[in-house]
Amino acid sequence: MDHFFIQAIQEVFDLHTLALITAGTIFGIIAGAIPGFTITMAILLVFPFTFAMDPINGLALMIGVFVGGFSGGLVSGVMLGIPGTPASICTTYDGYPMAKAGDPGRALGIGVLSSFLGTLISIVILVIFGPLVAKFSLNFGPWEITALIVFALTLVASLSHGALLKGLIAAGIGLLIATVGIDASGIVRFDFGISALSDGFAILPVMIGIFAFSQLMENVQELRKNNELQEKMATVNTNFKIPYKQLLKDMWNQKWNVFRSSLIGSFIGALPATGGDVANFVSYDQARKFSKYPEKFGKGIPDGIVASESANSAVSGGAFIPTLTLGIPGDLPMAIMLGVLILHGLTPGPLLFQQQPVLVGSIYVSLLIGAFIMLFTQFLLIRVFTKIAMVPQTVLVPIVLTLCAVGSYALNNTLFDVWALFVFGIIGFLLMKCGVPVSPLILGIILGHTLETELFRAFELESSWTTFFTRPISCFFFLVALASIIFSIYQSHKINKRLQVHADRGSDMGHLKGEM
Amino acid sequence: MTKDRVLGVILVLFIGIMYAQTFKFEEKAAWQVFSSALYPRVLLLLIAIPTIILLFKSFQPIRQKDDQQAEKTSFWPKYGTIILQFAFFGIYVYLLSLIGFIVATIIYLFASQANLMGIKKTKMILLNSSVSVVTPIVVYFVFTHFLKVWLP
Repeated sequence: MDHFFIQAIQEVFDLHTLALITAGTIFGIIAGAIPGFTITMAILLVFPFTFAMDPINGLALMIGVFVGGFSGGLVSGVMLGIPGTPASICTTYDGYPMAKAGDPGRALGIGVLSSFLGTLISIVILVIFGPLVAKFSLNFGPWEITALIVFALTLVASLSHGALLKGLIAAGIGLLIATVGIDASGIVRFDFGISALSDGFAILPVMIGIFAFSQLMENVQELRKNNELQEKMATVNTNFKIPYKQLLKDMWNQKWNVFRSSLIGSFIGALPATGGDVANFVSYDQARKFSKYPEKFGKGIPDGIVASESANSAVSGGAFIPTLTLGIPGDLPMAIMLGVLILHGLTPGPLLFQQQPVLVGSIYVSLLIGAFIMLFTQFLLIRVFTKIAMVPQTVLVPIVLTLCAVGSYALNNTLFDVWALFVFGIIGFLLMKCGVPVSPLILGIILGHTLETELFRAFELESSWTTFFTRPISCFFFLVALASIIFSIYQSHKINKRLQVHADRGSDMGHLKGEM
Repeated sequence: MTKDRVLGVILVLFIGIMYAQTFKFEEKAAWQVFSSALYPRVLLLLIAIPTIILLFKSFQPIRQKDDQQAEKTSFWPKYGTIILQFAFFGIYVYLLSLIGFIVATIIYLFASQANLMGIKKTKMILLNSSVSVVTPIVVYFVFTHFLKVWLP
């Protein structure tokens, strides 16, 4: 362990790698700070730049974006009251009132320090639990891996904003897209007579198309709806001071809040289908429940900012646990991170820890360095980041779309991938408009190939399908998958009932009003 | 017609087309455990089940909201910019192979920004023009010199 860790430190403490982490972190902070420009989109945009890099450098750059992105969301949340990313929604509840009360420097400073501490705690959790989970998952055969993928997909589908049916449809379509091209037996499927389709779709253009393209178009639509954001941006004052002494005092008073919220964030990050967006809500809620003055939450107290920011940043370490140890990404940014590993010829899973210990160690070290770089750059350049966050979407959207096209082209030097980006962009946007969640779709595309391979390997080894249910771990995952679907149906039934009651009350009121 | 019903009908058509396509795959070889068509067919079945439920549910009576009517009448103001954005991008991809990256990107960026911010004020035209010219040159330089990716 010590040996590979020292080797990993040597690899990452190279000037070139450090520069990449710094660049990634700064880009991540900027991306996180711009409302509507999510961490996932930032990672997707940086992905093409890693093609020419070795795995350690490529991952170092991506990790920088990842760490910076979670922290950047607080900038616009505090200054504009509009969260830069869904992971920092709860930061605005107290950050914005504190900034409005004349303390923007304090609000931002608390957020940055909480982000930093949250990342550090999550790294410790990753270092402790990563190898343990990897060791345990060495016992997994094709039955367990198949069951685990089914479990992850159903969980993502059932957690898709209450749209279970559409989530399941999306996961199925994702798996189906992954079947296009030559299969393991060398037989071409779904090529429709187009020779370029016989190789299947490259994951990157499909992911960028479905996620980034549709998200940007949604931003365009939002842009036309209201000018509130533009007006707010024009009035933001970036001449503020950071009260460092006050910050140290604040953070000392919040030490237990930091610890609890970071644990919550790491745990949620390690669960499939959940990420920073869930973590900041759960943690904020818990902080309020544990607080001696819950009524002050939402009025500009440090507790709320600390809970949200330490939890969303702690997701970074936790999310790496299932991705590296099981090859199952917890959320969308991790799904793309998995794509980076695959692109560089690495297979995430239990064997990664045995076969590539230096690479795993370099992920730990990159996360750690990323956290420190984030801390320094945020404190040094936070005023600049605040100004950059005000870049109008009218300029940003076309530039990002151009970079999406370049990234897709750079993958194989073929325009077919750019056309794929365009087509999947349209599909993604239409699906989004129909309320179909894109997360299960993307996860399905990424895990589709593995699922088919492992499923068929299971049948090659044991022809009976009952083996999936006689092996305890495999049976457990299937049962949990089933339970998540049943729970989701129960929940949506409950919500529908409540809505029905509200609607009935509304119509009764309407009648009364009419009679009056 | 509700969004869910439109989605359901499109999905049924999609499933039908894809299912028919599975019959064009090569027959199962002696060394294969299952034919190559089996897995996609199982997936299509798994997509079909929630699709049918969704379609069935879309026929259940729902309360018509007043704003849904308003939505129908304001299609172009709502989606016009988006449709133009998609169209510009499609034309851009087509132009890439014809006139090359730099010129195609300048045209695309200018048209796209003009669509989003308008070209009524001189300040806007200047901002649009400078972004449209500088961006492709910088991107081209970074990708060809640092990343060794040759753009069209």
